[in-house]
Amino acid sequence: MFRLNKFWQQPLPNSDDDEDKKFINNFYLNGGMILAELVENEPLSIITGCFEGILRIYCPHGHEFVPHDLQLEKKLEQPILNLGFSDFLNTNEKVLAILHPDELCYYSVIVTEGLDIHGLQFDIKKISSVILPSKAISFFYDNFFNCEKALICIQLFNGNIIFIDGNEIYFEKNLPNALMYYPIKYIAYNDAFLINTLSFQLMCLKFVSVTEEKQQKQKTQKYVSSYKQSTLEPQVLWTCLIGEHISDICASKKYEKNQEGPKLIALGSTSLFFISHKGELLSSLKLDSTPTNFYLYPVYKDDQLLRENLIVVTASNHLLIYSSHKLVWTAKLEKKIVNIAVAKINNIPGMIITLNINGQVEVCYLGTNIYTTPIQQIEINKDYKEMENEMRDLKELIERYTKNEYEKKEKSVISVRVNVPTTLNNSKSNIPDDSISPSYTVEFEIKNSVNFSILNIKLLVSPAEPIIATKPCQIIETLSNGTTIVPVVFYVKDYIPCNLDCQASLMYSLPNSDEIQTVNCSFKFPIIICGELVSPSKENKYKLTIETNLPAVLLSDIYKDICPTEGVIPKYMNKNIVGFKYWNKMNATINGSTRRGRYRISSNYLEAIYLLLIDLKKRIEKISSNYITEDLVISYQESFEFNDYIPYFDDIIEKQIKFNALSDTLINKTLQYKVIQKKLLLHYKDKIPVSLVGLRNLLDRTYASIHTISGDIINLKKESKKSNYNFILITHMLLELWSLKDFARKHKEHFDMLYESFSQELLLISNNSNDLIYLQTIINIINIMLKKDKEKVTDANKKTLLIENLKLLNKYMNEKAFLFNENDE
Amino acid sequence: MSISTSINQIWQDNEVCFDISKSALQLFPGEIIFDHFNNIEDIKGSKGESGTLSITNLRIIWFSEKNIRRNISIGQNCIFAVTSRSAQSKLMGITQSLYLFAAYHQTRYEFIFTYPQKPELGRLFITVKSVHKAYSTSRMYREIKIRGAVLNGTELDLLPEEEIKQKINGVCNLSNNIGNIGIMYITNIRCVWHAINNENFNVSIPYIQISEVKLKNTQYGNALVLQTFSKTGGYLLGFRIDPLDLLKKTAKEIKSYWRIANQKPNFGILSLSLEGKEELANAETPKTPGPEYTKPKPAIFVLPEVESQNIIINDDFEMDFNLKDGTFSDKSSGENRSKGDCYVEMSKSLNVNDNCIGWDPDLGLAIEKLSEGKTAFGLWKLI
Repeated sequence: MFRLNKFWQQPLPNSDDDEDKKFINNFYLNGGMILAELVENEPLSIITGCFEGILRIYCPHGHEFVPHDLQLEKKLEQPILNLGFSDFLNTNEKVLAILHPDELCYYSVIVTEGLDIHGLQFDIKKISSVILPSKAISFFYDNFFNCEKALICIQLFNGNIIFIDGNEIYFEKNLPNALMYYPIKYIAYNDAFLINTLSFQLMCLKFVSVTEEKQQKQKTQKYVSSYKQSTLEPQVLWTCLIGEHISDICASKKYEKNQEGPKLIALGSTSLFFISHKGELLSSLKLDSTPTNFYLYPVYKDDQLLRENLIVVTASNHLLIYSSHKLVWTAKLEKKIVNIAVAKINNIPGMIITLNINGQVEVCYLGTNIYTTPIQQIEINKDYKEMENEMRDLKELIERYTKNEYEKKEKSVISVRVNVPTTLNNSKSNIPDDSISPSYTVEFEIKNSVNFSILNIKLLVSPAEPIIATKPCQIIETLSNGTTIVPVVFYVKDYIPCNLDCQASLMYSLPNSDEIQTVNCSFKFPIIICGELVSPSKENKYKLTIETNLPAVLLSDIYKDICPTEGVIPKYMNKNIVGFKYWNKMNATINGSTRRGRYRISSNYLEAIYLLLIDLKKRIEKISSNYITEDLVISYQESFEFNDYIPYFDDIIEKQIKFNALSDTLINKTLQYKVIQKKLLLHYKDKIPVSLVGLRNLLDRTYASIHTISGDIINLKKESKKSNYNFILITHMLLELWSLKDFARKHKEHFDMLYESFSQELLLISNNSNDLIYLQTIINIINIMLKKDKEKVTDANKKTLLIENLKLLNKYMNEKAFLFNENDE
Repeated sequence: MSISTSINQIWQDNEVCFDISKSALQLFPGEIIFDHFNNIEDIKGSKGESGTLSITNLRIIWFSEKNIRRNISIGQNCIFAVTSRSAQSKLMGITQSLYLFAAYHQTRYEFIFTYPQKPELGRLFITVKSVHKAYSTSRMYREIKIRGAVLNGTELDLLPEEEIKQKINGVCNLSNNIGNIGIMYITNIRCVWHAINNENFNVSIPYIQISEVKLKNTQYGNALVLQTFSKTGGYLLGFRIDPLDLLKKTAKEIKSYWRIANQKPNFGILSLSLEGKEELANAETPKTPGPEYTKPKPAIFVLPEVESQNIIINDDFEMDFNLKDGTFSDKSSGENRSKGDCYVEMSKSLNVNDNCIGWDPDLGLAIEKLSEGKTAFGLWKLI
């Protein structure tokens, strides 16, 4: 997009009102500006008129405005709607016609030469005027009805058009199916008028005499006078459905080969339409923005009409130039313009003259500079110190705010307390089919501390899978002052849970308020939700021992709250040994030393250890204050066999690969199915049918195999979910064990980071998520901990690298366990 | 004292200047500061530097508080748009800013000024906008008008605060062979003459545009000659007044008004304060042509910061892209100042003369001349 360079500019006309509130010029009628050669063989003058009634005549003498560029400025008594300069009165003399709302006036322009350029005198003298029967909108003029001098056709506010010949009114006519204001154009070629009708049609009308039929023969003054006597009626020659409101029409003067009549160009609300003189829609051109004005100008070469180019001005202030349906130039306008023309100004041909909405005339030429909107400079030099200070301030602010928020919560009208029982439900009723455990009820005690009732309180609980709440969302319809107890039933689905945390939130809104208030609480399920204490078993493949600085505490003391029958300690516990059976039938045994605070957890399944381990840790922490005064130290001094961990990881990877393979096959099979289907359909159309049995069999078999594969995929998904949970359990256990090691304690900061990096999201590896960044973090942390060089992590090596690093870390942990007293450095 | 030597044409409102001398920053006689604002940052030229912005009836001046040599003077006549937008400032971060667009010597400039306090920015914006508006609607005070609509019926259409001092009948304008007889009005602001038979043939010359008033013996006899400055056309207007006594008396009278007007010119923008505007709006005074003015107030101050500051020595003169040529000519010539490239809105300034406009045969329109062998069509194809 190019610029439009200014050549000459009229100083902004004086106006004491806000310019944006009123239009100084008739912006949709192309009115207000004409170009005229007031004196023969003299440069063109630009004549403008505005609603304020000021007529101005300019003749630019150079590229800067000088006072003598203004040839005349005269304030007329009435607003100026439109201007015309032609032979309206006599055939030889051109006069200025000015349309006022009630009157059409003719002025003669008197020019007296002066000695100097500023001595040139201009004056306009009113010759005569015609009073109009109704308020006028706009006018246009041409040699209508093949008349020798120009006639004027005025559009009136009553919807009629009126023809005026000099000082006399010819006739007034109401055109059929026309709007109050419509663009109207005269085509000299067949003496017809083009109008735009209400039904978005372009209509070509010809005024014919009803009484006289012999008009064609006469073409003299007599002929015109015959019009006065006879009544003329419009006759529709043709109509052309455009489908858009037309704002302007023009007729091309350039005839192409084999073209009998002029080509018509209509400016619609979004497009340009090219129409033949017979009313056939030839082509249309869609514009990006709503066009507002257009101007067809001839391009001459050696006094020969070469072509006609079209300037289109759009609502987005673009000036588009079309040459035979092709966009050849675009320029950006600065202001909304109401009228545009092309003329020779100051001896330079092809200058563009515009009248903008403020009534300012500008003479422009095309610039070759690209139009750019000023780009705002972006500050690059950042003061990092300042930024950090700002960050700190912001953090403080947030902290303070959250603190306030917390205090606010304290004041919340509703409070919730959770009763976590240590026993499972006795009744086995209401257990869903997919449950492997007895149901477990948690009671939520909801207290309303205000005097009015609160309606529609929502209680939402979200335990981690596979613990399921039978009703994850409950609604308490009304809660008046006091306490209500809401029981929520939980159960366990198929495998061992890896997370016993549960989040619960209450949502409510106070009466007369839309703001939703929330109260959050979290609690931990007791271990008994995933299994029960049983007599110990002997098959124990995996063992691990944790040591404490406690004296020997009996398991019966530690586990007394979850004994199968409350208060009664089973016999086997007296030997300081107890078994635990998960609902999925996995067994584990906890063995306590009778001399020292040392405990061993053993099981045939590695994944069964984790929950017991953290539960035991918690229990020991809880009771420690009863036995010792110093800080409790729990440590794990054995070495963990990392080889035990690898199968779990491999299991997942294997399943993932299998899954990928299966889905690939599925895609191939589906494709095959589609191809066969298409082939079958094609062959059905064959004239000579071929046997299609083979193809059909293939189709059936493909269909069946798709079914099987889908089934496999579903099963695999279920299995891999299970493997995944196991993997999570193992990983957590590994981390937990590591955290009990001295090495981890020494690198606490890094280790905590490592711990946090093993998010739930990452461990669900089968999700195939974008886990590279997580893995990279983990590997980097391990590298830092082990003071290794940074390794480059890619998608291809990420998994092996992770395993290797973990293995190395584990080795380090184990070795360090032996070198208990050695300094790290 | 010879008057003609002491009279300089005002350039303040017609030029955009950068880094002008202190004397050029001084107010022109009749130039009034309407308001001034401290702590204004000029984002485009001197980022991070706090300065003062003064709004006068002729121009808008910004100068750095640290170094007065770093300044901008934007003539009111060059400004074509005043807007407010948000901009990135080094002192204040993203703030609302005053955007001024100006054109001078076919070059377009964009100035961005930011102000720390938001309500104050509103005042700044309104002041700039209303002063500019008042300036552009009071051109008759300052500009020569030929063949304009200066008469209201048969009487001179007076400007606010204008008084007719003398009305002389039978004054003959010599710019025409016929020698049009007309009426000359001498007011406190301008000289107006119009022909009796054609009121559209007229001329209105404010005294501030006259460079010389003299009596001259012409081929038509003794005549009063008014010479205007070349910048505004350089017209030589001759008037014959009979008898000779009246001619001499008129010439003397015009000369004295011209002298007074040049010592204390009335630029038409007297004073407008925000309070005054509100009052006017409440009073609903009938609309009169031209801007509505409140009673003139005494000039608020004459650049106090400038006065109190020590004379700036070139020592603390920082090299800056803004000051790259480093030469400072004294005031009015206005030729050797920094170009203010950083404010230029376009990549290339346009020097319009008729030679660089050509006609393109494909487009059929006037277009900036391209270098040899290039066509507009080729340029369009590039895009």
